[in-house]
Amino acid sequence: MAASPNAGRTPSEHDYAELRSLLLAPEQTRLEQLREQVEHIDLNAQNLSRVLPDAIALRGEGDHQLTHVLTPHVSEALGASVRRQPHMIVEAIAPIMMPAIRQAIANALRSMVQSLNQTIEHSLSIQSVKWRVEALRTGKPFAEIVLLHTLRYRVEQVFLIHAQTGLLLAHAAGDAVAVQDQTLVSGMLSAIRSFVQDSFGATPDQVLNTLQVGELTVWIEQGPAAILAAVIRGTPPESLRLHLQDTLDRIHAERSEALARFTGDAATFATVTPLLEECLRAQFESRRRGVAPMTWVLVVAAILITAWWGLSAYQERQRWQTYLSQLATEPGLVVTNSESEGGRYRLTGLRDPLAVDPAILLQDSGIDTSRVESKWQPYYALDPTFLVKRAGFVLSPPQTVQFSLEGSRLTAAGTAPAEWIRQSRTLARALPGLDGYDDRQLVRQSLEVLRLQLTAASILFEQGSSHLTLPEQLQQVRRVADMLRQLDDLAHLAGAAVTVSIVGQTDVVGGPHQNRRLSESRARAVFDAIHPTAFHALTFHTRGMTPETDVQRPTQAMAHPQHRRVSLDVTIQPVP
Amino acid sequence: MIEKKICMLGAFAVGKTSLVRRFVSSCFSEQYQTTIGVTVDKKSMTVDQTPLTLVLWDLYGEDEFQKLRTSYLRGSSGYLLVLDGMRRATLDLALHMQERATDTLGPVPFVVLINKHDQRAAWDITDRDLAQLAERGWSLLMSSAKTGQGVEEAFLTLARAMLAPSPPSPTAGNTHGL
Repeated sequence: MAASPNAGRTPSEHDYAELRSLLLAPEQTRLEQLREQVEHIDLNAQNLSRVLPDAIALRGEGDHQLTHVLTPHVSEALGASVRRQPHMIVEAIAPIMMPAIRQAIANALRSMVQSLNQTIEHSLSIQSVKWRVEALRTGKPFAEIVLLHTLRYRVEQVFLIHAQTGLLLAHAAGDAVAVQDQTLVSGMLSAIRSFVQDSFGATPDQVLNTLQVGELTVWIEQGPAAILAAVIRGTPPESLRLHLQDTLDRIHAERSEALARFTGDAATFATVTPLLEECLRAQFESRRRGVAPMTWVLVVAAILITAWWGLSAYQERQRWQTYLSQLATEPGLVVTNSESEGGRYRLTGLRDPLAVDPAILLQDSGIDTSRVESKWQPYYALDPTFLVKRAGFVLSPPQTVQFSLEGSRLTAAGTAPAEWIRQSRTLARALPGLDGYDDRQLVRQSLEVLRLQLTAASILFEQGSSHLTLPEQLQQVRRVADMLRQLDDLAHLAGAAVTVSIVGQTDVVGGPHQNRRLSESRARAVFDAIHPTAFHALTFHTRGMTPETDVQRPTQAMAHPQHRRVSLDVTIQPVP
Repeated sequence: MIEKKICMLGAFAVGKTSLVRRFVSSCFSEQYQTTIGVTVDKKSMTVDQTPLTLVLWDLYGEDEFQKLRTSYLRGSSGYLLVLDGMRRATLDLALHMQERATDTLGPVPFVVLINKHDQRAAWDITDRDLAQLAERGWSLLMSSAKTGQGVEEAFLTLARAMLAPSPPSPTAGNTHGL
């Protein structure tokens, strides 16, 4: 570049140029470089790269135009990049998102566990029963009723509001809290504050700091540049107000510049949201440590009632078992089934008509008879006692008859008329449970008794007479005839051969020969009077006995009326 | 998302609440309901690719019985000054209110709405009155909450003025509607 101008120079010019070159060579070179840069500054990427960051920073301070211009392009580029290489964005945001996701899950789990704990805690108490009734009555979920009753206070929402504009800077709300349009709420809160202060505030310090709406309280803390409003359900402690004030002070201290320069973009206040979330406190009523006296009373009453009921039930059970045992041991009663249900008893069984009445046993047992339903079917019990008793009931024996049981064989003893003995033989065969009926002893004893009675009987005669004309004589004859009739019956039943000797006697008056004839006549007269042909089983003999031949009579000289008689001598062959 | 508080100012029954309802809910009711105190509403919109939420403070209309509480104005980034074209008295009141708003807020953007344009024939406010307003350099718009005329435009104009980077001028822009 320097050669060409030297072509037409004079020596002096050449010297001058050389001198200038010697003196100003570095500056000339630098000047040339600058000229090059100035001439090509618009197209030089290298130069642009040097000034671009500063230029962007400079423009960004002035206005938001650069942001507006770049936003669509950056968004489009970001979208295209995500679509093309999704893993890049995942890797990039994972370190930021994962802790947030973990925290969100932890919070959700904690809420769930807390809710579960409360539900379990309140699921078994008397109070919870009341609350369940209330939930049914009001149609609200049980959890909500529990929350309303146990909640001392809960901060449901916190608003950070710009004091000057009433615009919302930041907001935090608890789980499951119905959130309204926060912008409108903050605006209306500001409007209400302005209205109240204008209407009632005497000085600028006198501002609205509490709103009460039903169960909700709104506490409003006033700062120089921002307002903190907390929506609280229940009755908050005063310490909460201190915490709200501290939070507001901290926000003012940390974000004073942003608050002062706030022009409507609340995004810059997103970082204070965690501070607001710390204000979302809640306190539930702690469980009462001691047990309420009423609870003790109820528990003791319940125990006493249970014990009384248990004792009564036990005693009732014992009485029932005793009654059943008694029925089991009682002859003629068989319990086939017994059951108890709901304090009532059912009993079915068999009862011999001769057995004791179960209703009487039940009355004696102490059990409420109205609670017992019994069904007894009749049957014949085969117990020895019942066999004997039933025999006495069915056969209706005279009192002179005694029954006894040998094995299953019924034996009759004592004395009885032949007619009864005959009938009882037929009836005894029909008695259940008997293998046989033995009345031989009865018959023998009856015969013997009759024999003795006949032997003791006598028919007296007038002196020297063998006629039976006197009424007393005829009565005695009828009596003897009756006994003989019975004897005949019994002998017939027993199959025994009975010989009846009719013996006539006289007193000592008269000669032996005369007396012999008289005694034979007397025997013959009695024989004729009793009509011996009517007795099939008896064999009659008659004979006379003089005083001399009567070996049993003591020798007496006096005539005695008792000696003028006819007596009977009965011989039973063979004895049954 | 940028939020801006704006106020609706004007005499009673000029149609402030109707304008807000037309703007926010796109509806209109012939039934007049007086506003007690203030009603806060909001509308999200995009102005020149900038998302914006307008928080609208619909103040009660001023009359001889209740004066404007300036505390409601505090923090407003702009306001709509609403007149009833059929009642000239609302113009005088609007001038008065504009002065008080300026005292309170300083030179924030505002737009003057001459409402009830659907009954233009019955207007009491004359073109001369409007010209005088325009001479002040104020931004004027004819509107009708009933038909929706000029409503969106008014809010958009105010929003643009509020978002403008330069220090706010006493008016929102050039005179419109004349």
